[in-house]
Amino acid sequence: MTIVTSSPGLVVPTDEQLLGRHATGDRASLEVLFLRYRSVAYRVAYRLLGNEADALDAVQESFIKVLSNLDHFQRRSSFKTWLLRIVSNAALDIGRTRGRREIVTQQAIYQEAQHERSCSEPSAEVERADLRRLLDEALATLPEPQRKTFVLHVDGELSYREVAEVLGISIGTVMSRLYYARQKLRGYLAQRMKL
Amino acid sequence: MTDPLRPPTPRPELLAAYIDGELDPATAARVEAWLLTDPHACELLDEQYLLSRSHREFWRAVSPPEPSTARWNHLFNQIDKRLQQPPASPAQPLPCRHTPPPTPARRWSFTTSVSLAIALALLVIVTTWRQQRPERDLLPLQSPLAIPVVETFAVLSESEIEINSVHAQDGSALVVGDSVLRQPLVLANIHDFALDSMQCDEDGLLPNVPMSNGSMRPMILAPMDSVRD
Repeated sequence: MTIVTSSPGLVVPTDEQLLGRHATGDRASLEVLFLRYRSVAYRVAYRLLGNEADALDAVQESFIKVLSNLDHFQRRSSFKTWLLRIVSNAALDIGRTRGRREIVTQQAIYQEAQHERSCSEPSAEVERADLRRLLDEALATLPEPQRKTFVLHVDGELSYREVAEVLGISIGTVMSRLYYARQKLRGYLAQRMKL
Repeated sequence: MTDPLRPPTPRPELLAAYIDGELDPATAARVEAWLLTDPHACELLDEQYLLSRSHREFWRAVSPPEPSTARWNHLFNQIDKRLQQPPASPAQPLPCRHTPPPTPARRWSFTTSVSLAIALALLVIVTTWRQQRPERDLLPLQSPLAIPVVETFAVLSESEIEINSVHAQDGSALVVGDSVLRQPLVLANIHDFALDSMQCDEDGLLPNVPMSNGSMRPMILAPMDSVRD
């Protein structure tokens, strides 16, 4: 896979240009788009699903869906917000189908933590895995609309306005959901970290 | 007593959005005006600032484990492969044997036969049911009850609703309290019970049904035509 890096003098193609090239059959443009957005898409999917395999499935399905339906992309929002809308929906669909969040979360997180421990990684990594587990547990306590809003803002790095676009809600609702999500997460984490 | 010259206290979520730099200039100016006039404003601002910053830092410090390069490459190849596949063509109708359209006489004969069969089956079912039904002294309903037209309303459990804030003027429209259906909902069909008497509740909306243990339970009515014998 070709790694594209920006350097002085190199003109980085916009998403629009890449999408245009992809439409004419240029495979390299697909690679660039994938490299550009795979991490953010994966982070959102992972936070909503809690394990790598399901998150990668959601990313794969979303890229395929987005790129094979480009004629439905109305360009009113950016490619990133459109992609993340599909990713978050796909992740929640997968979560519902596989019954992950409520049932499998604890098991998957436990397995992941065990795996990380067994790989005899440095203690900082183990600590990080424990923290990740704690965050996942905290996220699971949020109602789905708050969880989705929070993840799109923090992990998807979307502004309030972009989150509102993705979810089809008002900015005021985004504000409220984020505020109450943070309060709830703070309460949960404060309680757990004391233990 | 509130000072009319002082700008109204912004909601905390507005303050959080201000810290996140997400407010439009006019709203941000309104928040700033409040910050200048309220002595406690800085404390609240600091609290929101710390919460916002610590959340962001904390969250990003424990970002999900990145898949290996091999997994990313595999994923990309899968996507590429799927995108190169030709789109599925719309399903073609299966070839079928050509059969001539039925003549009017044949169509009439077929329709009559089917109607007769259905009527016969219904007759058998009704006769059998009447023979098997235990005799009961059913009190006929004295008069058709006037059922008021009630707007459809949603009944939600506590876990299904999340109220973040309510405008003061909407407060009176919000119904909060115990569910009407405090007990598990029991669904019955018309053959499971005999309706001896019925009376409206205090609001005249949901009819209450006296139960065998003496208590009264609300009942959701089907159209009256289906209840009558």
